[in-house]
Amino acid sequence: MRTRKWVGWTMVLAAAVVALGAPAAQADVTSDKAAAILVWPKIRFVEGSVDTIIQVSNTSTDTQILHCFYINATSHCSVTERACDTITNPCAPSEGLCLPGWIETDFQVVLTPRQPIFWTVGDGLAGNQLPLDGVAFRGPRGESNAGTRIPPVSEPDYVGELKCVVVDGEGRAVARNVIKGEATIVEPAVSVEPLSVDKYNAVGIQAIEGDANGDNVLVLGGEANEYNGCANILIADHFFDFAANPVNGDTIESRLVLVPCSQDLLNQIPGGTTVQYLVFNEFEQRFSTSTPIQCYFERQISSIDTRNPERSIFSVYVSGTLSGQTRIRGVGQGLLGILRTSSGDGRVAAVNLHMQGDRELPDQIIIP
Amino acid sequence: MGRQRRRVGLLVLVVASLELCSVASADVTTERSASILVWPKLLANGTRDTIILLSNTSNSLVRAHCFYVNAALTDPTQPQGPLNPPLWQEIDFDIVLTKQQPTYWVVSEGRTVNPTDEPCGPGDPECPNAGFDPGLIPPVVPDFVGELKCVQVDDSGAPLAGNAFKGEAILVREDDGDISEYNAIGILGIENTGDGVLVLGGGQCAGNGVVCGGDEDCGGDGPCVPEYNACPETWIVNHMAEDAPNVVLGPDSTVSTELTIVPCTQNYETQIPTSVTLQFQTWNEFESVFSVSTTVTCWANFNFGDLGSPVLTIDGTQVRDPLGTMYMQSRIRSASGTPFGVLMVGEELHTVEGTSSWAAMNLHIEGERPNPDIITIPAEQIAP
Repeated sequence: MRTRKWVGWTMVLAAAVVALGAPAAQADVTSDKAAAILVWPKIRFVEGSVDTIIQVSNTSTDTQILHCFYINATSHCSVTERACDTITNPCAPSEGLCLPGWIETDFQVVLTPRQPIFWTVGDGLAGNQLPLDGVAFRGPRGESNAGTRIPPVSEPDYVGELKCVVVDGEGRAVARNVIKGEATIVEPAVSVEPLSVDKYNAVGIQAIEGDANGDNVLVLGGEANEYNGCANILIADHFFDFAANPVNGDTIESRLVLVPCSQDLLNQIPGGTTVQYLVFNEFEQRFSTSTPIQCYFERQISSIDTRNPERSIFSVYVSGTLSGQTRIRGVGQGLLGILRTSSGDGRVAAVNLHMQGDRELPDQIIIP
Repeated sequence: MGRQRRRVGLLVLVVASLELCSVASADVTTERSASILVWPKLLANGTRDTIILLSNTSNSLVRAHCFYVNAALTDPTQPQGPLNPPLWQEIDFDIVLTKQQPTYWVVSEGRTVNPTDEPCGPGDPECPNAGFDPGLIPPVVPDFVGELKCVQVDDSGAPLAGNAFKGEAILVREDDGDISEYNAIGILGIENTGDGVLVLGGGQCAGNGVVCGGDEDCGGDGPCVPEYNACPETWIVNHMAEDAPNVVLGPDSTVSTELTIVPCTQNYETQIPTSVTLQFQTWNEFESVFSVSTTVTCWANFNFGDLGSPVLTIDGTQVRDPLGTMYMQSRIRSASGTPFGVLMVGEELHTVEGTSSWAAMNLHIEGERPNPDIITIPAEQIAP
């Protein structure tokens, strides 16, 4: 009898150890490894002024098909319908209210083995612009980019994000962590404003089993084992707004870009959540604030908590020190983002945010 | 029957436990807190200066032992050669950060310890060094080019796998204020034996401290205690052909891509720099593939045009893409004869009509190195 009990406990313990060691979705959203889903949180196009170069590479030795989505988050004045921003470019009273937009446009990209391609969001890429168009040019084994048609973005003043998912020939998301990407935002010199080029890595979400059940609901994190989850906390090191650049005295400002991890691209329901910010200065003093975001969030950090930036907790006048650490947490949904720092007369540098921790609840991307 | 079941149960238990043991993986990271941070590209050469941003992401006070490595040429005015090698001179210092504390310093100026530094206030945006000073950080010498490495340590100065640090570098061009920024590369810690031998992608035998890749290397002196995650097997860079035009800026523009590379293995005790031969395999948009190699000693900063292969340049590209430029994907790994990993960052210089702008980028990684890398810290630096 004692032997049976001992055997039983041994088996139970062994089973528990195996269960605990079983692979589970982690917060392995990454900007430095190939993945199955790529997100470029900020795409910007202004006709004649600003454009974004998208680079994407296939790191595998097989042809890959991507199902990509432009998400147009441009706001428009309700009367005149011109592009607007509630803080930097508000609507005049006669123009109506500045209403946020969220419109998705999807397209397909075919990448041959190890192939890098690029396009500008202002022009797109199609037909005889493709390097291996399948007519005049094919790869060594006959493969080509045939089937690729990337539209230009839909407005002359456009802001939004881009998302690409690795799919199979039937359009089903698959567990192939094979694509990497970057975005280069180019602002040519105009008048007194200098040339500015900044670059960031697309954020990658690695697959575990992909959309194994074929329901077009891509579950990020949780127990579904489809994709890794978004991080619980994003961390940004930055200078507080209006700080003097310690090298040359130029004024520094930072813009934070956030997009929700959860999105319903089928029913055109944007993701949204309340975002909590914890801000630490160099005295270890802590401030906090929160703000709701929906679909797409881009704001100068000193405009996050107030309409008077000089009184913001993100302002050097309030924080008291030049540099700070901000911890960003989405309450209801995970977040992805980048930070763009400008110094002086419009010189900009972009950087990917750091990540920490796992979210309790999964996020979902529902694709058509 | 009962004995057999016991054996099965024990066997399953042992196997399962083995699966749970920490194994070093390629988790060099640019987006998570780590125990070792490396900023491969630091410049303070009169043309560009560098701002270091460093934060403690934990809720405890943390310490780090840091190293500047000066890789400037013996005579910066002359080209590199056998009679003009890089200095590879190391300067070390210690820092302390309170919980969640951010800090910064300018590489050319360092940072003093002065509790009377005035904080900024309304209308006063200049408050250099306000805040808890992390420690006395020396300025670098003039014409400095090189790297910075910080290793998390405990109160006694022994290396600690606390994974509490994140960092960035902002490169500032002094004449016009152009900036570019990259994340420091982090090496996650697993455990640590507390000595000055830091094993990346392996560990040390618990019994005798010998460097090991696994328990099988230790024999009776095991187990092999893993220390830090490994350097990656392959680096992947998306870049343009050298001097190819930026399609947004027009056909008269050029883009040059610089790589800055440092070996993972470094011996600060003997001050002997590590040499690594790197193999480049590059695909262009037409799926054509090219190979080239180069050797990096201590620290290297070069553009793709410096590799000596015309096919990596736009002028040497026989066929441009339909938009008149050429993008490439390069996969970079260490040659088998020099079994050391490397860490690297990239920067693009976009030039048009006499103006230019830098854009820094962190690179992608793949796989884990089969051999461990070792950072050796002099004993007196970690246990004063």
